[in-house]
Amino acid sequence: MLNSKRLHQDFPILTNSSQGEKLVYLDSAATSQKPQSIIDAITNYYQTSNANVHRGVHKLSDESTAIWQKSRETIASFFGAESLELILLRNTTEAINGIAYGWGDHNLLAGDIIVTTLMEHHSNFVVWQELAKRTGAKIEIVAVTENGELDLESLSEKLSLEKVKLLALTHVSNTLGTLNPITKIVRQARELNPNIRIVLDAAQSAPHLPINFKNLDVDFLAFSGHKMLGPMGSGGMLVRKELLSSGEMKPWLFGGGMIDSVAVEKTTYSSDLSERFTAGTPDVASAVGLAAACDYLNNLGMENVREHDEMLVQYALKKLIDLPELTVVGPRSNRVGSVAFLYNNVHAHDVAQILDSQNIAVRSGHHCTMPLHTAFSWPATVRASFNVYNTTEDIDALVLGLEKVKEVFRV
Amino acid sequence: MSEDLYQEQIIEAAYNPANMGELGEFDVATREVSNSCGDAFSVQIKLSTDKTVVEDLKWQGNGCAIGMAAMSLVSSACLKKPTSLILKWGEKEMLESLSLDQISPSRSKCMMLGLRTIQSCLKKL
Repeated sequence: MLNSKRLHQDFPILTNSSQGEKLVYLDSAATSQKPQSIIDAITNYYQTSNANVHRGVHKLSDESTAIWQKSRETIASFFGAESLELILLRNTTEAINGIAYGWGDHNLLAGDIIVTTLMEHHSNFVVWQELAKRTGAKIEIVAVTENGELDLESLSEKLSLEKVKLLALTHVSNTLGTLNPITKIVRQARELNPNIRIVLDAAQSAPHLPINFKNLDVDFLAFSGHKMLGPMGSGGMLVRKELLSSGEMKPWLFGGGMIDSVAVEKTTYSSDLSERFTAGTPDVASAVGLAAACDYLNNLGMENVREHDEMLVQYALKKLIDLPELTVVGPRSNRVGSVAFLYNNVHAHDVAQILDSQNIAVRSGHHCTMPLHTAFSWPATVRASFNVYNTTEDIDALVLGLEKVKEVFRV
Repeated sequence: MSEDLYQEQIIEAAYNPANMGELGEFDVATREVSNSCGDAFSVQIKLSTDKTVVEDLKWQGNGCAIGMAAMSLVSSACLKKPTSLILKWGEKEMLESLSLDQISPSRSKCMMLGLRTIQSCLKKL
């Protein structure tokens, strides 16, 4: 079990609130807070090791290159992947765009089918709409059941269609909290269609669950480092190495650092896969910070992190379901990271504002899942989301904070 | 600042909004959506014969208390006013009508949605 009260001390923003009041931070699904050790790792890199990588023969450049490579290894290994399978980018959205440009544009033809789901974040939805426009491919959308789970019958139906080339789905819904049965889904998808490619959006699962890229058996896994205690602007994807080495996945960013040789007539690209997909100077400091975050999480133990999240989610569900003025969305079990709800007759933004006046930070709005909100006729929802530093006291503070909404709106 | 936002006048306007409904006849209509929360307002406007003055205006939609109150107040403020004047209004006028000194950038979007809808409707003329 995690000792969250002690962990709390590792996060300066939670202990040094600018207003002098205790900050109850329940918006970790948007971005997590950062422990001091990660802030220190980034500062230390700039203070002692900053230089461009792979560009010089001087000592500092060598040192920075070694740090970059070591950080890549730490991050890849955190996900049970090989370093050459890791492409570091700024976030999940950029990773999914990279899949569309680097794989989709070269492998989809008019009439091919992309299967995605109604519970996707816009980053795993709009990207495919745009790819479909460019290639003439079609999008088929898997339904979500009334209680917020993926409709597995609808999924089977879509996967059985002819010309399905890609399945893009989320591991955990950022609005419903639903944990999709990814092992079962991948097995079924591969049985029905051995040539299918599978994109897993792990933005909301990577901060809370042990992830093993190899065992998941997906082709692409996109993640946001900044949601898993890493710095802003850190994230990326893992791509199965066979797709990279065979050339099925091609570079989509070109320029310095990713080439083998450049001539006026023709350019060839680096055979080193870790270089081929890193055009331009990489954000080494962010990689250092993300590697430090992986170390921090490994020290806690991802099984402990998972247990802690499950405890918080179940506690929040129990407390919030009991409030008659709320309608909690999403399933009652098999969920991760967050609990979202509607407040009867009070708009989500107003609820969030009243909570903010008590120094409780939650997210309100459509959480970049407009198709889901439209399908359920939810104008907007309030979402409380968690990370390792949250305690049941934070959820108690939320429940108490919601009392004030009643006072102000007299509902 | 957050609690001060919810003054009596705002709650009253939000929960008993003025000018909600539909016009039998109108000259121009439009719908706008807030990209931050998905809230949407639609508006119908009837103009004077020379098309320079707002004769009547009705709106529909759902939003947060700030958005609803702002739309309620601005829709009343528009009645019998020249379109040229309405097109000049901005955040300053909206803050005044809600009796607020300031608003956060995120809530400003809520406050401005109503006026934005009316203005984009008038710009269609």
